[in-house]
Amino acid sequence: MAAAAAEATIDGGGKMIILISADGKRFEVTEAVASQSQLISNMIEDDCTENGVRLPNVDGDILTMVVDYCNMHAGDAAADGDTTKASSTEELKKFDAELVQALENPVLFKLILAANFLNIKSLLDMTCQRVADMMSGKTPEQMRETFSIENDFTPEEEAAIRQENAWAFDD
Amino acid sequence: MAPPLVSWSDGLPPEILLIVLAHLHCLADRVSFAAACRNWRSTSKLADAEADKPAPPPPPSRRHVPWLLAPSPVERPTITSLVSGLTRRISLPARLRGARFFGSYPCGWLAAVLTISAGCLAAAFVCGTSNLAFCRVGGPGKSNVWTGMEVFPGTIDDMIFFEGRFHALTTCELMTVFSISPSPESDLPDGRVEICHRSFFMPMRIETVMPLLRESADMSRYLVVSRNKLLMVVRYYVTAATAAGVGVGVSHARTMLFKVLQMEKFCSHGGFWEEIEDMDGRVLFLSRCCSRAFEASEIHGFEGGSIYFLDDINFHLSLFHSIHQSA
Repeated sequence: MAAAAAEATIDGGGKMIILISADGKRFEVTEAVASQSQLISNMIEDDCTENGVRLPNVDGDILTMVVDYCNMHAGDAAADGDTTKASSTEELKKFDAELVQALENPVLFKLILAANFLNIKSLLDMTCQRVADMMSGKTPEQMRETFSIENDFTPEEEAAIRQENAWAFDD
Repeated sequence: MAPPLVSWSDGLPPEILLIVLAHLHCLADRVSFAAACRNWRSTSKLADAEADKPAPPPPPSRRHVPWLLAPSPVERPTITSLVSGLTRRISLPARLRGARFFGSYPCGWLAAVLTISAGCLAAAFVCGTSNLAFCRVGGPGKSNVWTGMEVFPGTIDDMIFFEGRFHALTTCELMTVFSISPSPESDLPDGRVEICHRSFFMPMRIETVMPLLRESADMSRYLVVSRNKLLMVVRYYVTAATAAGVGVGVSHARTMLFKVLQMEKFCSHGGFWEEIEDMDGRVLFLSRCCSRAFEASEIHGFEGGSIYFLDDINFHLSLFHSIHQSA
């Protein structure tokens, strides 16, 4: 069994499957690449990827990024043996850093939702980390500004919140 | 008007916000998060409720790094978040103004002393013929009498409380160990404490340092306790005035070389420095009298084998140096 699995990895993950974005764009990827998504991995197990996998809440431009990410990280899953396909850890780190740094706010948002929907834990974690990094060192006002959030507290509530953690508010 | 397609406040399900929150390691950032809007506030409450559940205990990597509390002449102290690298002024209740601050601890604790419990020992750097002073802080009703001591030769680079004694190290590599009896009964009638002290030279082996560097660079020494051993970190640095290529007006020091040494004791008296080649998994935060050592596995976001020098005028996370052992 192990030998068969290794062989499948070497020739690129065996079967190809088609992912179809909300706006009808089609992406052909290997099963090994696609199964980094727990959602798709389950579908592969249940044999329901025959006619392509429709992803009605992921746009084409977001799916492009997800597929790029999964292609890059496909080596992670194929742990032992073949290292020629797997990208080096350094390369991966660089790729990941560049990917999240470059994201505009709305794109980051959509990518998080896509990673959540497709259930790709590493991508979800990385994008959430990026959001946390953007929050770091900010006051509530600055956080609202960064993420275009409306202050929906009443003045009384806001005063109570400030009271509760008075040490953190510099005024 | 149609609702915005991207709404960070209510467009993300709580489970995603919880992941974001799990990546916010600075308590002040978490407070800001909870004060941004209603939805984030309720997420934060949810996370707190999870954290308050008795089992299972959080993994060690989830522990929050304490803030660095800077000794500060202003009445409101500043804290530096080692996670974000930012310094914040923090507001304190009026009754804490002027209190003596002793340090910060994991999970957002700050130790301040208003009325000092009797028996607490204090040491201070002072100016004058004495350069150190010690005191048993007596608490209410007892005036504090300081006992001056002189450490000579050299000026004091750093001092630390280690194995029940104050250890002071001078620029001339003289280590002086001060023992003060833990019980107030042994104090002198005028209230001064009785101090036993022993000094011994602990020179670094000279061949371990490039002679040129020794001449051209300034050096500072830091004492820090790690794994129950006393470490000395020696840092060779040049300041902006002497360093080429550093912008005018930039006053931070540039570290040229540093060495980490561990004190090994002779069985009778005194000790010597043994150089540590491999920092395996340790993270050191160094600043005079308040250096701390951690295991990288216990704190989030720091790589083992890193040293942060925190006494640069501006603290930048970029100013760290790693020892990577190739052996």
